[in-house]
Amino acid sequence: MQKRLLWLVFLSMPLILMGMDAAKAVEYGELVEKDGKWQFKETEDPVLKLIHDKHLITDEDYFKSTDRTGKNWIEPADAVLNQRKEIDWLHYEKSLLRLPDWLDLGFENRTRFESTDHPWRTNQVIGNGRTDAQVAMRSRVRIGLGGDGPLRLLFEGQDSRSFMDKDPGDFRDTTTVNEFDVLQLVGSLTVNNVFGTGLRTDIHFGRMTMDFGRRRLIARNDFRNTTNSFDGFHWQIAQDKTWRIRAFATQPVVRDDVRLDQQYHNLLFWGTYLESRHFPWFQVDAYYFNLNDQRVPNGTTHRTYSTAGGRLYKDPKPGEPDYEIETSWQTGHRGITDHFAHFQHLDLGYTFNLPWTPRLVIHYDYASGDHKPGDSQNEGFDTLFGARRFEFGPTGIWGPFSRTNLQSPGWRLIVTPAPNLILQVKHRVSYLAQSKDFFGNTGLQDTTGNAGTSLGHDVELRAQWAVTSNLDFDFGYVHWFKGSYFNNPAILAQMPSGGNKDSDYFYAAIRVRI
Amino acid sequence: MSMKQRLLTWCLCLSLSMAVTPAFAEQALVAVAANFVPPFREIAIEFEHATGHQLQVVGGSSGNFYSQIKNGAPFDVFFSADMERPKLLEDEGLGVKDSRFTYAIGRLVLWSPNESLIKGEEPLRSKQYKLLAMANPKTAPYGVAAMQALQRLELWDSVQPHIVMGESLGQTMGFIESGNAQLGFVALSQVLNPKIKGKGSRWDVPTNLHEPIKQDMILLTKGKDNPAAKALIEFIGGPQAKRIIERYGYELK
Repeated sequence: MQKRLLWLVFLSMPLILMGMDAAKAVEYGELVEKDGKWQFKETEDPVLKLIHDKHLITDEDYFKSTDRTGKNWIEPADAVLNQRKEIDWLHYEKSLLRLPDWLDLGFENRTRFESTDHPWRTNQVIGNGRTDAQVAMRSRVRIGLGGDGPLRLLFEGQDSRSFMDKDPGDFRDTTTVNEFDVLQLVGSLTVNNVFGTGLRTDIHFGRMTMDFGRRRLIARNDFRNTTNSFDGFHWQIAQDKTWRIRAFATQPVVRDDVRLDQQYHNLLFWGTYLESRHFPWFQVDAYYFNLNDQRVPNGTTHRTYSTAGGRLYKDPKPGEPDYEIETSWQTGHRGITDHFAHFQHLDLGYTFNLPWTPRLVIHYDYASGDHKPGDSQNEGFDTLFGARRFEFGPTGIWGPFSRTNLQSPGWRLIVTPAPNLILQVKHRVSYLAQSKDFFGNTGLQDTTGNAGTSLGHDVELRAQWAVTSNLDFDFGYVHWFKGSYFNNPAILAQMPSGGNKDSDYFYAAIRVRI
Repeated sequence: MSMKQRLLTWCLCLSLSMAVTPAFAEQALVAVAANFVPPFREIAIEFEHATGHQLQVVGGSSGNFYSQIKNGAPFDVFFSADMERPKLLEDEGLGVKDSRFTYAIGRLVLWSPNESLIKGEEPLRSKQYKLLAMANPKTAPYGVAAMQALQRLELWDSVQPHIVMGESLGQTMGFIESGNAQLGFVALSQVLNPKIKGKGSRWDVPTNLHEPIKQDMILLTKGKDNPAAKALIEFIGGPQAKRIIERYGYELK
């Protein structure tokens, strides 16, 4: 009897709650016309609205919270270093705890399940078609002091770890695991109007993450479970969105999976990056980076590279074609051998002015490999600190293709059925640029070149759904039709059993930020 | 009555009493000019508490709302940033006749993030700046007022080479906040926004230097039988709303 009574009360609750809440709402949004009908679309954050409606925060705190995002967002100093999407989200606890304007607090967690089969790397021993799975979890805490500036201090701690990684053949390295570490501890000074010229300048010092250009050579990793960071100094001067010049001198942080990360006096990275946005059809970047890596006593692995390059592009717009060209050239020394390498990238795209705004892009990438391993010339392109997920598919326990010894044409179709939902299908064909050099970082190599260059082709499906700025989902599936390269006896002998068979990869990720 | 029956009756009564209340509440869809959104947020809360009616609020530019309403957008009430568009809608039969009235009169200010720059009209005369921002008089009533003030101060011709025009007040404020313009003409309500309030220096442009920036509202034809829309119009003319409007730097008739 008591159980039935409990059910009765339970079933009454929604009605009670509906009754309590129905009349308590002022909704803010926009009016959009769809198929001849006008619809009101709420644009408020549902959680913040709920917090407000339950009187956990005052009206003033609520308005302040909404003012801090969207069009009213003021670019803080760390947006100069990173993408806006990395730092622009509603910080509920700031309103709930009534934190003062000069103090900010944020938490983020991303958990991803991923699974692959028929591994091909030389350091994987699992075979016979078994599926390997892993859960990668990344948590971040951000504490900012100084509000909108001009002086600001930011701490960002990151904990990256993986689960289900103890099976034979699983690999665990510092691209996945880096427990409890300082990702950023950066002080910044922003001057919005330098000597009355209208120019903005930012100075950063300490440990920081950085994004440059399309992020092919220096990136604050997004898909990867751990993140590149740098200790040193960064400076920019800019005229609004028209042009900017950036320069940096750093010691890249070398990650350790369990101990604190550290930097080395004999690993230095510096450079400068220029961006011009004067002409929408001809936006230009030019850069020069210098890497001097002499950490290992064995001189043959020393890297002393100068990398110079540029980028021309037009941003995509509905009803217009767009393009992107990037060229990058590397000279210097690897150990006692001369180093000369390059990579080229081409995108040709068109965004259709149709429902779901479909965008079709044709890609081509070429990254040089070593023509004759063991001679006095090294030609394998070094990817420095770049990201590759957006071009070559998921990384994590997948990620066979990288920007070295590779040539790869492909295409991609992207549709946006709703502003917060992106669906993509991608297809790429891949070849080694030089048959005798290594295949990326897989460890596979046929020094005779008899295995050829055909790596096969892969098809990727991806869905990204941002429910709000605080919650998003990401799903992906890749099927890799392996090429004839993997059927060569020399390559077969280096791979785990079944490594020449087609591989599938699936992942599902959720990210929560508060 | 058994325990079970008593509990059931209690639950049903409570549910009905709470669920029935909103049956008397109506909903109105309201278009609000961007410069009036901050005070309207507070007004909407007071309105909802006082009447129980619900509001759906869309903030944006008056020009955009005008064309949306002409194209059949189902707004019930329109709070414009000017007098012309509500008048046009009334003439075109899209607004209810004689429902139009001035709900606020905007105040023009000269503002700079630099705390020591503005002392009255002095910086305009001594050209202590490189760029002066103002809204485009072709699209914004505050731009017209700024132009009139500069003309009456006999500075219009001399400041021409230094003027940078924003298409809206929001863009104009962006020019000044970013430091691209050292000072500019904006609405007092923008400067009184909690984010800006107390920062920089300002000069409240005397109202005799320009025509009044009258902001009119109108009950639209679609909302003529909507109790929530009619209640909102009544509420805007009441003391609670007036106090909020004045606090945001607007004047009342």
